[in-house]
Amino acid sequence: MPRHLVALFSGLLLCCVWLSAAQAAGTKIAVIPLQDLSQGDDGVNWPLTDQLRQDLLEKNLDVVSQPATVSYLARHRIRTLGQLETYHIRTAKKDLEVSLILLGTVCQKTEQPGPSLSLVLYLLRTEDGQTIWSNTTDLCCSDTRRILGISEPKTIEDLYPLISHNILSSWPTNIGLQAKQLQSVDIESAWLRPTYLRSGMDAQCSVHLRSTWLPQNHPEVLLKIGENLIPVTETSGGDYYEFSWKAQGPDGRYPVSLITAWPDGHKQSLLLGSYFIDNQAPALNLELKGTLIDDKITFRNRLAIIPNLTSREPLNRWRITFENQNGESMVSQDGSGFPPERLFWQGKDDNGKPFPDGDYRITFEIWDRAENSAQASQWVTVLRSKPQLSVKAELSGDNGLTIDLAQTGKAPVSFWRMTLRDSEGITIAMKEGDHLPAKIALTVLPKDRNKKIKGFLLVRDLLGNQTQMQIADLFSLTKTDQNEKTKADEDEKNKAWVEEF
Amino acid sequence: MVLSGCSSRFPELQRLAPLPDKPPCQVAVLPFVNESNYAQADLIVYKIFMAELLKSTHFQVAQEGDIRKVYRQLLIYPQQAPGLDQIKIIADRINAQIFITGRIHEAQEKSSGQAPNPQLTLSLQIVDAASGRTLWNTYHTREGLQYQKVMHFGLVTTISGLARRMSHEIINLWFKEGLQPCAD
Repeated sequence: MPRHLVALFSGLLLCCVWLSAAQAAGTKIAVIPLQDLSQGDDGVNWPLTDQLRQDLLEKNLDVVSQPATVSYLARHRIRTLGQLETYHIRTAKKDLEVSLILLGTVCQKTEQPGPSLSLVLYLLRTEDGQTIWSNTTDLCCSDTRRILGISEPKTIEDLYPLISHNILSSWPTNIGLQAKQLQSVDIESAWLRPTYLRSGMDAQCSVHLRSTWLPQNHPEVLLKIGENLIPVTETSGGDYYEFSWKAQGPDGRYPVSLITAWPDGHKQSLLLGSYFIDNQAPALNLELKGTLIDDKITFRNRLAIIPNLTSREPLNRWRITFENQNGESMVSQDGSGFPPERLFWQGKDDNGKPFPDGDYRITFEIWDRAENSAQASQWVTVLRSKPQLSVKAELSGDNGLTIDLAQTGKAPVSFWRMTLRDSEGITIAMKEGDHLPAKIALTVLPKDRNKKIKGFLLVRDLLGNQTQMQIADLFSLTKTDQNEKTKADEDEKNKAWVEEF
Repeated sequence: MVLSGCSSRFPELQRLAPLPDKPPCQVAVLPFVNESNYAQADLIVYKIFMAELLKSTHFQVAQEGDIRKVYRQLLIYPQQAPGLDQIKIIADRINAQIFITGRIHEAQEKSSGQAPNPQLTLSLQIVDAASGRTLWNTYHTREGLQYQKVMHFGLVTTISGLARRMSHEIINLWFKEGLQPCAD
């Protein structure tokens, strides 16, 4: 090759190397302390961070001091390492005067079965907040075995320089530091409430922006609600914007966006959220599972209450109320979300005290997410009185004895049984039936009329209320009705409200 | 000993809807959901997948910090997938055209004989950011021993090592199957 061509190529090569080195030398970079997941989400790995800083210095990069970087993180209340918001990346350009930020995460760091390390790095450009390079690598001691074992790494610390060198081996040689950057807003916080509402209700929106602009470049801020554009102004105390309005319109979803119009003419739109207008009340009917007596739903100790929701929209809350005939609320219960599919009431108040016999109105109310309400109510009768009995006996002819059974309670009888025994306890008759009044005819010889016949009567009504009666001498009833001796069982022990209440 | 793992049918791609006509430029990787018993598997795989996707240099990938900020603003808790309305807000705030969501189904660092043999099973979805519709679903499962070639060479001993290789395989599959790089 001619000597002048060799000289030309050598010159070009030297020029390229010099330009590359010159670019690196002029590039300032901040190394964010590495997040170390092996120490939990908030773990930090200082030794490997220092190793990376050292290796970057050797690449002729201008690395910001560790205290300055930590001070920057503290100043901006950045608590979680391994990630940064675009706002913070851009702010670092001004605060730390850096063009690049290196951040990363130690994903794994284990000692067993052999020391191993896994690292992810991201290189960020502060001009536009973009990631311009990334790399990930994992290394364990067994990956680095050497002949004769000389200088072979044996601990995690031995791996730090190796993994740093390894991951930085693909470091970009030509980093583009310039990027096209439009003004933009950064939302610190935003809320829109309520999410569900009825037409005519007040809606409210609040936005806190992080200002990244000079006062002369302050954008005009507008809210786009549905198709309407509404200018909003800052509230006192900074970049807070609040606006409230009457939600109007047919049922549907209404998006709310923040529009910023910049002095240079470009606009930015950010969706803040949506609210829903719902003017439809939910549909409800109430089903009670009791016994129908005289066209009234009647129960003794357990009533199933079934709120039937015919429209399956989510509910906000529900309430059930029990009122007496005077309209006084006896007891009520509230709940959030959907009501249970079925509730059981034992006819008692919150303290377990049974309601007296009588008629009560049960009202069930529901509210959807927009506070549209629906209610349904039904009357129900509580009846715990035991069947009232009348027993009469009458001698008929020479050998006949007729017993008349009747009851005067409100609920029809569903079962009765009468057992008759002689004075020696021997059963002489047992009769059963499922309705009253009833007649029982017995044959009693005249010679036996001086002997006592004992009777035992059990009567149960449709609701389960029952009465037991003992008759010491059946013949005495033929003389007078006043000799009855009644012994009624107590009702079942009081029960507390069922769990759903 | 050469195992046939790398030639298995995984990763498996399921196309649920066509990709957008215009190749996406802005991509956001949403925080993964961890269904495994391996603590931080979601974070480890997320960070590694994000780095591998950035290495493909085809997209502008939204900053993790920006995504987590919107999650905080919308009160989306860790391990919770955003709802449809929230998806639309996230898309708008971080200006993303497609989302990548992920679930770690299983992750464990077991051993096979004396050699560590991690196992990882995950699924990643490509979601249309504007509609919230899942376009592609990719299921992938691997064990560390499946990468072993000769003696110790190729052996993967950690979950993160496995995540790196699996992420690479999934991204390669996506491009092979028609995901277009950004044209701008």
